[in-house]
Amino acid sequence: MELISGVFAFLFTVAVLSYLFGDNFFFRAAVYIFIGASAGYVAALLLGQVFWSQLIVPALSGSIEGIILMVLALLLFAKAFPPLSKLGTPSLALMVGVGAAIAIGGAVTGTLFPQVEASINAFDGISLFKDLGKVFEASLMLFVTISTLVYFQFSAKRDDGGKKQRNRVTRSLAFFGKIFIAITFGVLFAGVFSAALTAFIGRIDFLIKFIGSFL
Amino acid sequence: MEKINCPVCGEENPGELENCQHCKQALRQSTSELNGAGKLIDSGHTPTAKETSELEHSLPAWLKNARQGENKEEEPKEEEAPPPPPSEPKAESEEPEVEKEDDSAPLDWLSGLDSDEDDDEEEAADWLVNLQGDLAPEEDEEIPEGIPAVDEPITAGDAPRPSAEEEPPIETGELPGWVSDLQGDEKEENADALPDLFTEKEEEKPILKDADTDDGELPDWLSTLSKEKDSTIEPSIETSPVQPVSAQEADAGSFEDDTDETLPDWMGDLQSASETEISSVEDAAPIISDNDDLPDWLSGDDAASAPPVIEEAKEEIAEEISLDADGELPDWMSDLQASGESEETFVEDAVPIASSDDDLPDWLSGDDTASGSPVIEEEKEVVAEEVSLDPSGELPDWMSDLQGSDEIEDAPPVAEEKPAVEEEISLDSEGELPDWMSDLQGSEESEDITPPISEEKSAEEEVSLEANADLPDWMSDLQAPGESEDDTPPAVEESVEKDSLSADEDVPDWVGVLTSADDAVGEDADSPGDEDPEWLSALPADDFSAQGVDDAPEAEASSQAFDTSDELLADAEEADVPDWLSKMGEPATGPLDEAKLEDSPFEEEKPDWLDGLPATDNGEAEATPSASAFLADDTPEESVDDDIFGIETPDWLSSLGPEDVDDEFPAAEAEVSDSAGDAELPSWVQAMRPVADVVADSSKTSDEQVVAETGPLAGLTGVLPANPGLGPLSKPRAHSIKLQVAESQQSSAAILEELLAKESQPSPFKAPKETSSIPLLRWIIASLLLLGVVFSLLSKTEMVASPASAAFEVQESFKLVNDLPAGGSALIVFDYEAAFSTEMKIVAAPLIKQLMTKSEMLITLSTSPMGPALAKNSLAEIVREPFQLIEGENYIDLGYLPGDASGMLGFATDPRVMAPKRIAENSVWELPPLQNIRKFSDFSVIIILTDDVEKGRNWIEQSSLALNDSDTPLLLAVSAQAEPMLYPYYASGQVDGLLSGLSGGATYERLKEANGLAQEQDGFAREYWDSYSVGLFLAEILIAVGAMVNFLAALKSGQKSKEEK
Repeated sequence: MELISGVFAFLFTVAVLSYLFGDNFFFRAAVYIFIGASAGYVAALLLGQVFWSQLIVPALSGSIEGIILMVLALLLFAKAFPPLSKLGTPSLALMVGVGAAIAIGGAVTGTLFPQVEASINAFDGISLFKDLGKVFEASLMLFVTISTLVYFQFSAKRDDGGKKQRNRVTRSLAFFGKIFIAITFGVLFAGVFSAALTAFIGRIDFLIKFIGSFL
Repeated sequence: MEKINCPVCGEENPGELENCQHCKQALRQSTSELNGAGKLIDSGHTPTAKETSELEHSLPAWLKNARQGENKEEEPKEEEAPPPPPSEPKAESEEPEVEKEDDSAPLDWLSGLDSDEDDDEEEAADWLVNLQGDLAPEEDEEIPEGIPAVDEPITAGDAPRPSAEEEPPIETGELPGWVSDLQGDEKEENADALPDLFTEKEEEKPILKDADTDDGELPDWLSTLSKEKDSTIEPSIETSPVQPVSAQEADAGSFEDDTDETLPDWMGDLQSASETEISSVEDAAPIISDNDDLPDWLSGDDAASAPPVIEEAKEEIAEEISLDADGELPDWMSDLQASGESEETFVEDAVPIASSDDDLPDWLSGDDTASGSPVIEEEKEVVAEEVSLDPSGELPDWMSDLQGSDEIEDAPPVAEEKPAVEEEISLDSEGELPDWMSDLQGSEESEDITPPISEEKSAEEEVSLEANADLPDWMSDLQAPGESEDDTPPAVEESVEKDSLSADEDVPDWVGVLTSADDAVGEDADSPGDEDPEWLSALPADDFSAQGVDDAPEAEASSQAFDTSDELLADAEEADVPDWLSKMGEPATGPLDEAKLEDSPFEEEKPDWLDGLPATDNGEAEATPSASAFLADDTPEESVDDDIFGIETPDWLSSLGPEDVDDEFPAAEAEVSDSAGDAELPSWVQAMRPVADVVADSSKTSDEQVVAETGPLAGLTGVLPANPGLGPLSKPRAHSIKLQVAESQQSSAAILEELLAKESQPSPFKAPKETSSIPLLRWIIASLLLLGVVFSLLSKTEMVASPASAAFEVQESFKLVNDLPAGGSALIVFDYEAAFSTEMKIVAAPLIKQLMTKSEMLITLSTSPMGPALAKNSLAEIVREPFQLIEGENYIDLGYLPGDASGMLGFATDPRVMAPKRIAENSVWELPPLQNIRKFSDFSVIIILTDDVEKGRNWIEQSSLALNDSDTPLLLAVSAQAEPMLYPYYASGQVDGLLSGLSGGATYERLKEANGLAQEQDGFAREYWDSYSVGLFLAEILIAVGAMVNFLAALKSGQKSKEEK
């Protein structure tokens, strides 16, 4: 079984790497197989672990929650039929509303406030003369954060010449904020490249080991 | 016993036999059978003499019946068919046989009469027999439509069938009057009624029979034709000319009966006015009335006898005169009017016909005027037309030949020549009177030859003139003083005279009466003898009577003969005085001629131009037109005129002559007399001359003499003036065509033009640049990376040392895990994709091994559908010997958590609800490690393995509240690509530890090794660390090289742009 899976893994790995020679049949075939297999796997997973266990079983058990979920699910299923699409609207609205609320609440409570607080707390407890590094770090973090935020400040006033132009502070912070954004994208690219390089190395290592297993 | 001569061998045979005893040929042949028996007679061939009795069988039935007096089936008129001539009994003996054999051969019904009358008629009967016998079959085929078929049985009651050349028959629908009259006369008189002349001149009878369809009234001229001019006599002469005329004459006869009632006014006037003519008529009328043989119209008044002829010519002459009826009388007419002899020109029209013929036909001498005149009447149309169309002319050559020929008798003029003859009448009127005319003038009797025609015409003219309100003056003059000029009577008188001339002792009584009447008429005509030309008296009356009478109906044949003789023409030019005229002498002018000319009411109206003629000292106008009537050479000229100017030459133009230009009569006379030189001009030129003169006189005005000086009409006169009444033309003003446009408008227009030009111009096609360099670069980068990775992997050497300094997030992570209590349940969330499985495996492996060391139950969960599979696969690869994953014991897979953030929040809120996982019919939450877990913070450690920033953030965000006040550490083991975005959460303290990528895994392993926790299963990060390091190094080099290349390219482009600027 491992051999078969290993052969398929080897073939598919080579087919994907064939994209080095451009888009070809092997590459597309491997992609399509992966997509198909994933979709099938996901469908089976959803039917077994979600639809049946979390919808049918609770509904059949007679629980109110289960019936409500079933009703909402059926109404949402009505969206597949245009004449009955409006029936799915309550379910969809509930999903979007709940999801938006959760996302926003999570972002506010989990990102915005903690991040602001963290930024503020960077200066908490540090001595200007003792912890210069922390001060510099905290100041830089503050400056990067402010500059980045200022970069997205697009409001401006007309100068004497009639041209719309942001004030110098805003323009200066925006300039630095642009630099920090660029550095961030560089870091992100490095992380992507690092992840890709790691994956590449893993595939090459697999190939070597797979081929080495036959040698 | 009857005997029949064989038509082939001529031998006698018994009458009972059908075939000849000698030659075995059929004795009685039908006309069809004669086709092969005899030879057809062609025109110009002289037929051989035959006995007409042989063709007795061809007689029509009705004629046979008429001869036998047995035709009871015919119409009443036919019943009154004339009895057979005196010799009829002899013929009756033959008729039964003929009826038996040849009922279907109706052609030669006259032949029977010949035989009946006299079998001795060899000369005349022969050709007729040939014609009847031989030509009859041909006529079946050759006779054109319209001409009465000879083959058809013509009954006395049948009206003659009209032909194209014939005038339409009088639609009486009954037997022509004259025929019926004749028949009646004959019936009354029986055999005795046949005039003597028929007995004497049997030769003429066949023709007369053909012509008149009458019995025993064959005119002499027909006999003459049969003798002398067989060739000239054609079927058309035999049939078509005669029948209609005869029919008309018959109608005329019938008309005569109704004279009192239907006689036109003018006729009455003429009758009442002209005492002399009335007297002559009265002289003739009693004679006719006394003679029962004469037809009605002959027995009646002369006025009644004329209408047949007049009616025929009415239309034609009326047309001519109607042209002048609007008051514009042609000059030639005025000339005639002035001379008071214009009508004599008409008289003279016919004179040549008779004058040239010494053999006056019998019909002229007797009651045959009806039969003779028809021949002339046929030509009346042409005659009447050409009298006016030929105002000028010269003496034709053939006329001179006629003069020189002593044998005019042999070539009697046929009526067909009359058109040409009459044309010459007018031609001679201009001055060049032929010599023979002068001779004719000398002979008074020549005038009497043709008066029947001319007088008839004149009478017809008067009919039309009186019918017209615009009667010319001269016509009124003619009528008023014309008491002695009664038109129609002279015709009758003249015809009577002719009859008298031709009549001999054997002439029937009625003919004798006519002759006596002629004499009386001649005397009457002589009464105005002061006006009679002397030359007429000089003409020999005998010759004329002998020839002219006979030749009158044969004028056509003779004229044709003369027309075609060039020698005669040449001689005519040389001879001034025709000898033949002198030879004709007085006998040629019989009493008929004298009577005609003298009695003609138009004698006094001779044109003056005739007086001025040198040859005609006496100024007898009668001779001039009579002589000119024979001018046949001008006929072609006239035809040439018509050819040149078209047949549609207007009548007024054709009628115009040099003398017509002036309205005044004396001036016209002077011109006529002085226009001797003009007469030499072709007639068509003369016809044109008056037009030019008239136009010139009328149109030459000062206004129309404008000469165009410029333009395409330069040099032409009579053009319209260019600017009549206007001042000199000036050049038109020069208007500026330039628009006054402002600069702004021009600029706008220019812009618009540019826009339009751009729209019209096709955009250049930019070929895409080939990206061949990209694959090359790709290959280079790929090959470098591949070589570095493969080399590092295969080398197994630590080319790069593991990270020496551990990062704080890694150290914190190691410390937290290391500080976990044993036997806890660690929640590991596998939220990453399969592509990142290797990296995530490297990152999560030191953690999971460390947790395994801590006997932590691994509870896996995934918010990604692929997460459970990846979790299982990753754990299987990570947990190796001596560890073993046993689900339910140290490992519980909660499966897939749907709902993303909602599911996370729900799972963070109540994990048992959100992950109702069952294993072996038991809830996982009932298992020992999970029994104490009621909330999210109950897990010993929460490790989120993700490659996605959002999922990491969601977990952080949604679990923040649940982990806010708890000691449960939250560790992030993320991909390297998610570290930059999730690191702030570590920095903010929301996440307790962070491991990211291969470097984070390698660092963690190094910490473990540093803490003495290193395991054999560890080393994934270190195995890949070299390759990873090589790959990053190459990537950094390539990035640096690429940055340098781009920088240099930017510099070059900047320099180029500067240089260009």
